[in-house]
Amino acid sequence: MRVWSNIYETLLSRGPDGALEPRLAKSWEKLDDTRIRFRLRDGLTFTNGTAVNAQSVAKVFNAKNDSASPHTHVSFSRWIKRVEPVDDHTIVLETDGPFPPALFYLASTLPAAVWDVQARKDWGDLRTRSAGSGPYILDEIRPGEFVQLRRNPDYWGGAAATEYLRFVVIPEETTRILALRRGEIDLTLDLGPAALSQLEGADDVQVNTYRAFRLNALEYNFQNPLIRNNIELRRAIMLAIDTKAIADSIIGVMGDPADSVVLDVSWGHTSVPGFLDYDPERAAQILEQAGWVAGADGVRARDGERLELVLVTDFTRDYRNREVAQAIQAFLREVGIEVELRLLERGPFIDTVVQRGEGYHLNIQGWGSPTNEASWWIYTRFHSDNQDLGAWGTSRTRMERLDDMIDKARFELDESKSLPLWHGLQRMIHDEALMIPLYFSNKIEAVRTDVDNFVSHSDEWYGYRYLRTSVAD
Amino acid sequence: MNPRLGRSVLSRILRMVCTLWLLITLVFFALHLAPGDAANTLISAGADANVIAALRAELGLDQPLWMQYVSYLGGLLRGDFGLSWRSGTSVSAQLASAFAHTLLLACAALLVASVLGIGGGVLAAFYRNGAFDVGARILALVGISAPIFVINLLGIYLFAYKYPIFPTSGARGWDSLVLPAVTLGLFVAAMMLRLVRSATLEVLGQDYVRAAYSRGIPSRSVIWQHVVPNTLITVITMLGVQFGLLLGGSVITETVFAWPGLGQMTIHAIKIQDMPIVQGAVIVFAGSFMLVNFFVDLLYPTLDPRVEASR
Repeated sequence: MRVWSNIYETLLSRGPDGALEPRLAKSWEKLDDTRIRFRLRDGLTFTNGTAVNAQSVAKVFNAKNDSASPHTHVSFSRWIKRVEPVDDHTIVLETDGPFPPALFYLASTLPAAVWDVQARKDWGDLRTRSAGSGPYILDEIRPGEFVQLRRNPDYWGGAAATEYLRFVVIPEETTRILALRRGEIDLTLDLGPAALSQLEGADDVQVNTYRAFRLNALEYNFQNPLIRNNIELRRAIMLAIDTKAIADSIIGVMGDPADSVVLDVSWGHTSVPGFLDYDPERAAQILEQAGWVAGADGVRARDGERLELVLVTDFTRDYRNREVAQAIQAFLREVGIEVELRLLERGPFIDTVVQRGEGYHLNIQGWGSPTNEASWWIYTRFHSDNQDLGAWGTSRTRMERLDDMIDKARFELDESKSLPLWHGLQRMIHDEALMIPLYFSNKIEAVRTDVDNFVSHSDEWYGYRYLRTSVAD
Repeated sequence: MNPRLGRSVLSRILRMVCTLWLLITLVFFALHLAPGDAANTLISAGADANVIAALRAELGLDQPLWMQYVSYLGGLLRGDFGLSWRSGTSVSAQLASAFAHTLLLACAALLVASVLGIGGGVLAAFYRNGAFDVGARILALVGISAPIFVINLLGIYLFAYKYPIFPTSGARGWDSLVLPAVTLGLFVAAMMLRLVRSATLEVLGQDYVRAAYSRGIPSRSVIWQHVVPNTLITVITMLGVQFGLLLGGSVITETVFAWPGLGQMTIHAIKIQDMPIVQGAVIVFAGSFMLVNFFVDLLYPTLDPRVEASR
């Protein structure tokens, strides 16, 4: 996506501070609760020469939602009912119902990129040739080696400063750092914490740490009756885990303790300090009151049922999940809960948690948000719409009251009314102990000091479109 | 070629094909019985159920396993390794490009290793316990004990960063081949040197060598005409095994140098769960290993007629 967002554009974009900015659309206005009118810039063309006009934009959005040949990421744009061209430069987008985060979605490359539908049909796919309108054109692609982009000389925003952008694959971090120090590459993203010490004192390189759009959490499996029917147990688990200690000692510079299920830099976040409370005595007390009594080996039991939980996590996608899981196991052991760890590879993890949803009580995973606002973080994870097997949400909460509250918030167009609703939901998720957010992730990148105008972008999935004004070759 | 040798070659080829078929079958079922398929990668991208179903149909994953197996075997016969789950592109094309890179690196590394390993081993044996022998043995010990990535990174640090002669990584131009080939070659050379040295020592102790010396033949001739040819069996076996291993992709060296070979590709494919690529890579790896062994076996009778006689 870091590559594609330089080739394909969206109607709007988000600045580094998250604010919405015009891109292909120069202006927009809400006509009523379900319709938004966009005015496109004049003289836009795709890099294959075809004009970008209201018809072509309407075509790409309607094609994405075409149920006969659905687009891979159709779930991002399902809310769009249709897009109608009004005249050459004006389109009206109609949603199924009121959809407040519409503009956030339209600023994300994945759901809302605009390309030449005809070119895609003619060429079969857009893997080796590009038909976007962005500042760069796909020049050469060699799987496993690099992707090279060439400047679009006719870009509406003016030709980019750098003629070629090359995204090179160098898996080994030490090699990457040496290549950066030597000047073979100008910048590198996604460094690990070890890079900080390796780059310390290097005066030709600037290291930036910034928040990624990513939350890592301990998720309850509400499909499991023990979890679903025992709010005391869920609360006790929450109190027994020292999230701050996990964030400080395991995650370090790569994240900060999470005080909500909505990322702290996302629209609609509110801090719920209760998520950070650590009180093992109180946790033990709650379990005691709920009838879970410690046995000879320290493990609690109730009516002959031992308090043994299964925690699954994927250690291949994020190696720290293993250490975090071990820490949680130790914390829960302290209050008399026995945790069996199942460290899985990506495939078996998705199979267990996403496809089957059974055979475990807790899971650790991380997820990002392409829209960076509260409805994404809460609606996709907790609403019943998304809790079927195989869908986004793996908490499987399925609570009618929660659904009602989420619906009220997500269809509310008036921000002054929806914001308190989202805040209330975050507090409710804490009070009902529906999930334990662990940490908000950070990213580390290193840029040579002779590179001008490089702007870090937290947008994990679609960032670095600002690269176009940077990188003096 | 005498008829007996012809029969033996034919039976070897047959055996090789059977082994390869067994291996393909094993790999196919092992990877297909493991949980999760192409749908996994799409789920994490947030695709709809009907999109996933469409993709599975396109890749043939909705068919019974035995039918997938039969069509995969059919495809292999035509050199078609299927489509990548992740990019939807031809696996054969990716394998071909990666294998070409791996082959280049393997040949270059083997060249470095042969020159240093064989030359060094013979010299060390000849000047047994001399300064050269002791020095070479110490270096070889270090070479064997040091993990390959340390040698790789040291090479980059010294000759790409401290003294920027070669590029740090990538595969652009001949100069980017030097560091990976030499560091990988050094590692193999260290192993080879020890083996060649002991094989040479063994031959040096043989009666016919002593006889040659006693007839007053100059030692250079003794070495090249009597000693070296008789160590060749050991050396060729060693070279064959090493070459086979190198063809499988030197995962670590390729990763450190971002060399777009088979090893790096396989590791990446495993990470992103692109099973058709993993499957294809395993088959290519095993196939090339078998081929190399096959040719080494064919060489034996030429190097030592007794091998043929004993069959």
